[in-house]
Amino acid sequence: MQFFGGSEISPSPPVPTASGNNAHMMYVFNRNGVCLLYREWNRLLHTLNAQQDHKLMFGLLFSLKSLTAKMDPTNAEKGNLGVPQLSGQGCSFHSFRTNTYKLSFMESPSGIKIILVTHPRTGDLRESLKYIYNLYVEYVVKNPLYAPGTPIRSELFNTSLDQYVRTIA
Amino acid sequence: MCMSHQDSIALKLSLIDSEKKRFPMAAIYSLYIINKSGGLIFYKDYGSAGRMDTNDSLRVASLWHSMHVISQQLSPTTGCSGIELLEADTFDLHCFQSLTGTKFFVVCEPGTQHMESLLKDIYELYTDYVLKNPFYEMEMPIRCELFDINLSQAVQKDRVAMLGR
Repeated sequence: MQFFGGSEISPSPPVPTASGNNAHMMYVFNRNGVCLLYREWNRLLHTLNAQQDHKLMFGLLFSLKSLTAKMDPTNAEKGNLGVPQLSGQGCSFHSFRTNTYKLSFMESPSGIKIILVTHPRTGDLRESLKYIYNLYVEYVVKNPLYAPGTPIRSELFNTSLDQYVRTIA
Repeated sequence: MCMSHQDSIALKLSLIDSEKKRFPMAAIYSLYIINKSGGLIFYKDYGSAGRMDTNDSLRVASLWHSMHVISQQLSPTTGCSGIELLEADTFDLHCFQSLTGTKFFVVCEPGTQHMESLLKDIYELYTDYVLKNPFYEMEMPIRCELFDINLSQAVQKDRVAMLGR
């Protein structure tokens, strides 16, 4: 299992190759499946209400994780399909792509899941997600008024997030 | 001397086996074909660790079918046709859906290129040797010898092309 940086924000965020408005939306879930944060920048289609949408997204990630853990072709000891796994255990995934969007996914050792939905042509966003995780640590976890497991209402986090996401190519 | 039909097939299969020994590197780990309702109609393993048993492959196939549909519902824009590429830590999964809803997907090493064209080739073989087979019942498991032979050749050719690169 990897660690995501030190205690301070890395001084230089991953260099964007071109500026553009590529991000559609972002979700942050904790390990219990509670949606801590939902931001959308450019979403034209809403098929479900917000709560159902979050549930469906968490369900998709959960099932995809158990699918990849079961499919892992490099490991013979995989256990049964659908067995709950701790974060960092078993083969996980970092992104998937459809013809209309790309979803990048990161899970921290404590079970925080960060999901970023972008244009399908965006490149590898693993570093960007780590940077967003660092923002979360700096502005949310270190905020003494924040109670863990409750929705994030931090003005500072939102503005720095918006600012950073705008630079993702 | 005239070779019977069965002999020629046996010869072809033994050739394929010898090819397999010469190229043990698995660029492609496995291939699945699922019908429009999510039932597994074809599964072939090309050397992944811990081969899946029949029940597990059926479960994985129908799970993939549902994930494919859910991913369409979560799209931020209209016109989404489901997951094309899933990048996991130890493998890539490329999926191709035909117009009739049959899905073909391969599990391969991370970063393997040209999988879309291989999937299109496999789709072509499917239309030629499965759909045009008068004894094949639609949506049922595929048991066609010619399909197996040509599929193995297509996969081997892809591997040889990869080694040549």
